[in-house]
Amino acid sequence: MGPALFKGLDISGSALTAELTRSQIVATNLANAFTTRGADGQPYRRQTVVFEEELSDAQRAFGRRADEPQSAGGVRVAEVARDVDTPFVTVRDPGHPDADANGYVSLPNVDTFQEMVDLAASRRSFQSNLAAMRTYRSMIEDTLQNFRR
Amino acid sequence: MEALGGDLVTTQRILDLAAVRARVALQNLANQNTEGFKAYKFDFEQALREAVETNGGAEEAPSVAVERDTSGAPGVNNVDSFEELNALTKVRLLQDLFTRRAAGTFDQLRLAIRGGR
Repeated sequence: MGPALFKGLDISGSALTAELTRSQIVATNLANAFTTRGADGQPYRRQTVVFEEELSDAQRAFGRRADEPQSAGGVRVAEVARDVDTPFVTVRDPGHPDADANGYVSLPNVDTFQEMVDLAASRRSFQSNLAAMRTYRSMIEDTLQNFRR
Repeated sequence: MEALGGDLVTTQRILDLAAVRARVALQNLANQNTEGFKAYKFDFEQALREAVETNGGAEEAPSVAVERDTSGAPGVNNVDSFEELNALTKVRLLQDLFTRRAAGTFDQLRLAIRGGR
């Protein structure tokens, strides 16, 4: 928190944290793209990250000025969910220990290309928030410098 | 204080508006990947124009109109990150300019108080 002047840095900082979580989830998905035995004995299910706009405590407490970003607080990861809607990918591989009676193996519902696209989007967001943070910092520095006598 | 510090009122109002624009940009940028987020919009240029025309908005400054930009398909994020970065850079330059200006005014006041010495 701290003074209002530094609030802007917290907003960008929250985005960096959220994007970092997202890219970690992408990495987990890619690492487990061929994991046929997850924690529940089933093939690994792809995880998705849900972002949510963060509103400040004051805003939530008073329940007003909901559309005023003066006290808004960036973004946060609301949930890391399992994708149970996308079906598993089945391939025929009778020699695989996890193959069913017909010789088909269920592979995780991770779409490698989709994950790469997500990673690119996350990276772009990370970079632009970092750029915004730098600009905002120089703005504060300039202001302090200008009033130095 | 009209003669001496009157200009500072406008400067203060402009700096307030710049701070709002900066926070709008930061909040929009932070949520560029938030599903369904609709960007905040704030007509900064219009607000500046009003601030200059009314010399800082007389006694009490009018509240700032920040709204949601509802353009685009419903439920689809409409943040333009380049536009926001652009706006942030402009705000930065404006902030620099006007804090210099305010500092200059303070210098003049100081000089006047010292009797020109």
